[in-house]
Amino acid sequence: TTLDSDHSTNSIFDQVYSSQVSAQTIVDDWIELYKKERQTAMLDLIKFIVRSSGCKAGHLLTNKEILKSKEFAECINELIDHFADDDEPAELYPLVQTSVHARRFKSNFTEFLQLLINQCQYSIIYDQYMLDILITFLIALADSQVRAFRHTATLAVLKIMTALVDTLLALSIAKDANQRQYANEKQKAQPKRAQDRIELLVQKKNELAENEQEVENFINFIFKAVFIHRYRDVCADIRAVCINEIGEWMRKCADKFLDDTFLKYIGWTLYDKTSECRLKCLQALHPLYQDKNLVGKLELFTSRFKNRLVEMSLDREHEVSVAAIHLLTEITVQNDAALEDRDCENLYELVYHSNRSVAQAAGQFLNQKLFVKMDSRLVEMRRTTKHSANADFIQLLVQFLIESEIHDHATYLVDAMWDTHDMLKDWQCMSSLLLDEPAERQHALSDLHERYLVEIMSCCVRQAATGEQPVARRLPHKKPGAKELKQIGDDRAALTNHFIQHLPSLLDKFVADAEKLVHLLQIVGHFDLNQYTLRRQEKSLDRLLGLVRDIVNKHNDAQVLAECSLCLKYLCDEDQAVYSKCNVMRSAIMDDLVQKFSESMRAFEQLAEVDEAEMYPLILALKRLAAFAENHNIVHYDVIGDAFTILKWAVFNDGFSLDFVNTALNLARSFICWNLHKLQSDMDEEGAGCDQPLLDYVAKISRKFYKICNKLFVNDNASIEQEAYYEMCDWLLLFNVHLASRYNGALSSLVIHCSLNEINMLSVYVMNNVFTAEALDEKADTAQNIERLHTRRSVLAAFCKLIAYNCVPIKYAAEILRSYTKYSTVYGDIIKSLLAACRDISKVDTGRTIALALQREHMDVVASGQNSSGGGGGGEWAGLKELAKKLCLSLGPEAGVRSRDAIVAVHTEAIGYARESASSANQAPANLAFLEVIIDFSARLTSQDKKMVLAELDKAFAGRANKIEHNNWQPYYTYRLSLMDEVTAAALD
Amino acid sequence: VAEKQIKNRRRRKIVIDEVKEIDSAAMKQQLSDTSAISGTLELAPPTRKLMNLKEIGGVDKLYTMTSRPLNNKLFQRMYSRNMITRSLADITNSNK
Repeated sequence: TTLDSDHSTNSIFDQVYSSQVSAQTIVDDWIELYKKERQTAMLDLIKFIVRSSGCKAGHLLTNKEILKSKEFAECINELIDHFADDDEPAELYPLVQTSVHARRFKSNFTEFLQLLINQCQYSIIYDQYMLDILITFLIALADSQVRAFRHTATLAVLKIMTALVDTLLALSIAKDANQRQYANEKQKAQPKRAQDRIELLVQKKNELAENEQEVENFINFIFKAVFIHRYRDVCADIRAVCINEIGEWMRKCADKFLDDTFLKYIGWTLYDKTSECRLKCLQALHPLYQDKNLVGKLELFTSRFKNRLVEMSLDREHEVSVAAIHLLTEITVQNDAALEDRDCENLYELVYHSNRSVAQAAGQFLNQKLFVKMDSRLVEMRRTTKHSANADFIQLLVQFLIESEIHDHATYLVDAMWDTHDMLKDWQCMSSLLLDEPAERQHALSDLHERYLVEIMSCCVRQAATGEQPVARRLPHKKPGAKELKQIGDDRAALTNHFIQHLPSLLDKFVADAEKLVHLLQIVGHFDLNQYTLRRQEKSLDRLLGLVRDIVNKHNDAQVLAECSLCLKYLCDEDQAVYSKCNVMRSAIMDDLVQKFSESMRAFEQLAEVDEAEMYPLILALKRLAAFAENHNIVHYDVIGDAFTILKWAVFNDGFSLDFVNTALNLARSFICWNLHKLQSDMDEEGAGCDQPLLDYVAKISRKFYKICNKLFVNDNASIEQEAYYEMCDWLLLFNVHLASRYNGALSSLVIHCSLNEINMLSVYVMNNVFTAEALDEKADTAQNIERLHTRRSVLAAFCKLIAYNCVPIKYAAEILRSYTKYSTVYGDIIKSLLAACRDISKVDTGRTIALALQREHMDVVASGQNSSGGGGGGEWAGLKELAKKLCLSLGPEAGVRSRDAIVAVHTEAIGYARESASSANQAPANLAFLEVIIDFSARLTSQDKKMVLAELDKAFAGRANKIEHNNWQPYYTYRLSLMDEVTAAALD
Repeated sequence: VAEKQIKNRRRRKIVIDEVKEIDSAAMKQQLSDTSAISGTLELAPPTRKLMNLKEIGGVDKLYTMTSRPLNNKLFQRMYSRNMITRSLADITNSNK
């Protein structure tokens, strides 16, 4: 760069910036120079500061007179006028640059200044010259309107002050030593005393006192001249520097600074508008509260600002919240009564926060309040009871969960406490609490306590075995590292060894309690199955399998049955040694379920009249079988005929419960899927021919199933209608055109094409159930509303998938695209993905579909009587323009290149739409105004395409428009102008 | 006039704060009203059902899973093998 003249003058800056030379060397060199030519050295130092502020005009500082007069204001003004080189772009000054190099510079810069003061502390700083000039200059610079100067100088002078605080501490130590030596000497008997030594000590004492006074003066001067102005600087970075340093002073020199006259600045900044400054306050306070010796001095501050600190636990920025909670925890460590119960309760609730860091910080606070506090008290008790150390903690945790009014499940509480307390992996303790008979009746857990404890235990098992955080708390795409994987493996082995033995007892004890069983059965899915054989625990496995069978036979709760099914599926792992044993049990259960189902079907068919009581055995048998059919292969059982029979009844009879129909749908779906799976896996394995009879069979039953769904879809029961809608959409995916592209088209006969009639029915269903007034008005606040929103989104996505995955032509997206802007808050993400898929399928058709969507909206606007923007421009017209803009933007920034065909298609369609609309003699066509709608798309045309579209436009209208000069041709001219490139358009102006 | 212009041009490259300090009224105001810097309690899903909806309700999951819940991963894979987007040109070509 242009450093010829600068080079010599900025040598310190170059060295500091490059990081090639140690700070020690730079300081040594400077001191050497100072001893020889102190004026040159001082000018160098000042130029260094100027250059560090990003100002390149340091070479203007040549007048050594300035060092005498110390009139810096004038020369700073001159620097401002020449701040940057003419030919250089505006530059961020080093302190606010974000490059690695710039950030390193910042620490080098402060290190250099502090080392400089440190090295000068024995003589030079007292020479009435060096520090005097340096500080006066920095104070002037820190008062500049130029932010770069103010920021850099504030940082510099406050870091120097921190170094001076160190100096003060060193002087204080020296004074104490001197005092001791003096006292020692005085104690000696008169004859032994060395008078000259005493005199020397007195002289030293005076010198130290003088120096101390001088350093204190500097410190007070800097504080008054800089700190009390800059802590409220308009620039947040500068305020942050101030808070950071005052925290340092308080920590280093509590006697002087840890006082309410200084603490108030931190207190006020707790209210700062910028989160970085608030965070700095908390970080400054944290080490102070950690120090037992200092905490007494903070009492007044605590009482004054405690409410604010509690409020900050719910700061706008999570990072600040976390720091506030940590600080409040520290305050509680020192004084358990510091916070009121109400405040504590507010903090406890944060364990249910959706942000993991906040929740974990709250978990630590909860731990401090509930569990650490008990620690010492319990030590004695533990020795006398057989209870594990954690038993009381776990009971407290259960109690806490029960009393929490805002959450009714344990997942997030467990996650918040996960890294904080080891009781969450104390399986022995949890099982004992559930299984052991308590010595005294009053210590028995209530049913409610048991239920929550079982849930907590199950959550802990899941988290230990998977290492996964629950949804909303996990970071996207974060994979566990080697260390975590090792931990997970160890935890899994440990929990398996425990539960292999104790889970059967737990299942046995709670065998009648569906809710507990659901959680207990989930534990099996996290077992390390190797352990059964490693530990010779086959007997325990027998017991477990027997219990699972009992539970299946006893229960009718869908969730319990689903868990049993999943649990058995997990155990029946062909790669595991326990497979054969488990598979035998599975076959027995399946045989039994199929037989019972078929018996109840036969019995039911015999009945002349039907009421609910008589249906019950069938419902039960169906439920159990369906739960198992989903996870266990049933191709060898002939159940599809009966499943179809039930579904056909449902088609022709009202009043079948949703549950019943749903279960029958599940059974039929599972059966067909297993057969399709067999068909495909046979072909995958052998790589050759296809089982023709099986293929024909699957084709037959899959079509039959689809037909039944079609019929169920026109059901009076809205819930059944919805299930049938979902199932039709799913079925069209499972048997879509992509199936034909595999295995050389062997499965082509399976493909199910959606008829136009069906597409229309599905599409109308979407319109009626998704784009409704409630969808716009309802807030996602209550659980019920969130569920309804989810349902609407699922219905929309089901149809969008049909378009996106080539089952339905993309022109059927038009009705959905129409609602893109109006419903963007609720469906924006889904529609955006749909558009992306449409573009991948066909650019031209996407363009046409966009045009079609806009045309339909336009027709509605026309129908409501608001034509053209000129006529007052109603809200609906504006909405249409906005939709056009959004659809245009959706094509992406490089649409002109990547979606060129789509853009052209939009224009062609729009011109056609306008041209073909009716027009009476001298009037413009009725839809001409539509051309204004698509003006946004003009800028995306390549210049070549613009010419082409323009020609097409003129071909359609030029003959007519040119003859009649009438107002309502305006849209044509406006649109036409948008199709000209800038040069042509300018020429027309 | 020309000289002043050059000056302005150079000054424009740097941030100048005509007012350097937050005035007392603004300081008082920020001490008395923290609404702009306070957040609200963003709760993790309070019930298992809502937690499940959160898990399956995002646009990615909606586009990759069956619409009717299906617990079997094997089947889910059979469906997702067909959940691919191919261009019309590709499909027409492969049918020829």
